[in-house]
Amino acid sequence: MTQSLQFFHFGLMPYPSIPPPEQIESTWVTLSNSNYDPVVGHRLYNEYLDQAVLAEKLGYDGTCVNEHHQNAYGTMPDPNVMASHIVARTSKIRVGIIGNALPLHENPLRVAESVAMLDVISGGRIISGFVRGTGMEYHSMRANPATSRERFWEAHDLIIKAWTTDGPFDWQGKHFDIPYVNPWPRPFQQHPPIWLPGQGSFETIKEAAKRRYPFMMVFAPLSFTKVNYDMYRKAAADEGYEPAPEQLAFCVPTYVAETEAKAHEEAREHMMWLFHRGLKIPDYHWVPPGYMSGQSLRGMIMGKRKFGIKDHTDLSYQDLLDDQYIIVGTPQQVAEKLAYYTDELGAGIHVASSAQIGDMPNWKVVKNMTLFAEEVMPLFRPPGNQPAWERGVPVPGTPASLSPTPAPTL
Amino acid sequence: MTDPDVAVHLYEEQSTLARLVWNPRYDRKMPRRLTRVSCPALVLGAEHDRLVPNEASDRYAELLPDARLQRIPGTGHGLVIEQPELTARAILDFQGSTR
Repeated sequence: MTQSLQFFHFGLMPYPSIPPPEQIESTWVTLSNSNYDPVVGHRLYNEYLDQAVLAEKLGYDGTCVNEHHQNAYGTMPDPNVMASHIVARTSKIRVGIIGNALPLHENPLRVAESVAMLDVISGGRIISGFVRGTGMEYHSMRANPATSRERFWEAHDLIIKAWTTDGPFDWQGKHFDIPYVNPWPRPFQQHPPIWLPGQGSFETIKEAAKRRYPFMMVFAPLSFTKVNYDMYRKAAADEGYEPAPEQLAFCVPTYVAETEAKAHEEAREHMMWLFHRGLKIPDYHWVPPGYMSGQSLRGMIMGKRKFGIKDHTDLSYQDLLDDQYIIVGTPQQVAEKLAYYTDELGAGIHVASSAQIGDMPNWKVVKNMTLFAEEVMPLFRPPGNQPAWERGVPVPGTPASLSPTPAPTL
Repeated sequence: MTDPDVAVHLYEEQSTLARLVWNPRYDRKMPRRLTRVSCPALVLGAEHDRLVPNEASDRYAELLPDARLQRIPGTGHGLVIEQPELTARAILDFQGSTR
């Protein structure tokens, strides 16, 4: 393969033992936590965290955690707790928190402090993603969806300034009013690189491109992801630069096995759990009023029509393969698919590479991760198969990682 | 399938409402305050308010010690604009009745 890719392990840490989709309204917001058994949760958390530690041993470029509330799709309401655990049990791998959901927090300084602590403890291994949180979380946490975007950017600006400017300083914003901003510790890096995972809203893509932040689409068909990445490239061109491949990440669940038949046999039910149960979400939970602009809503409706995008729960396994939501096959087939994605999208980071999916048991995850690391990853790396952190490749999103023109000072 | 123009328009209306009342959804002090109003009151409600449910005006009338609820026929949330004459008449009649 001539393409180069960085591979970030990313398991969502779901809680699989929930009723079938036809028996529940949603896997989010209203699914009763009486379905949660802490004894099962104890086993799951520790398996999931062991998998993140395994990612370092297998030479993944990074491992990621994220924030979701009150659901069975991903049980990491505090991603910094999970990152702390992973940081303590690893020594080299990059740890992506993708991300902290800024508008859901009363005081963004708490995020600035937690992430800076992790960055100092880990010696600068943290990637700090920022997200708005899904629409569902605006029901669960009752943050106002209509002010979420402005809260997001004000919190972002406050955190970046807190990390890069000598304190104390006075912050008088529309949403946050803090007379003494002076967090101890300061981050280990100048500031951790910022990633912006998104669902494809115009506003987020434009801002990400303007600030040269890596942007990531989650669980979308290839065609729709491509449209959004083209939009990012256009926004970058408007800013007068050409984005590096490492500014675009695709999050595509991937399963690899010895034969094609075995790969499908082993992956199918777990992929279906993710799309039919994990993503069982009514529209009124997805898109609370004000969460999107009218323009973005229109774009979403028209995009869905134009590309014939079905609701997650209407997708068959064959749809997932045909529309390229997922990659399943032998190492050779998976590598060819990844090469195709990389070419089509002009992307340089594969997130969710072969991590735990849906209700996949631990043994399959370990097998998938191991086979992927040994047979697929070397094809996208220089001879020697070293991860980015061994080769001294800059972390995506840091000014040093972006070519050809330097990033503006934040 | 829904007309996108209609969907976007309705969504933008809901978004404006969310900006105002998503959080807090209600004023916890309001019921106690309403019971302290000592003058007569007219609560004017819409016939079918899709933004603020009719139950809100019902509750106001219930809590105000000396209140009367009147709904203006043929109105949604914007009753002052939708039926200006009927609305003005209701207010004038009420003021006349309390002199």
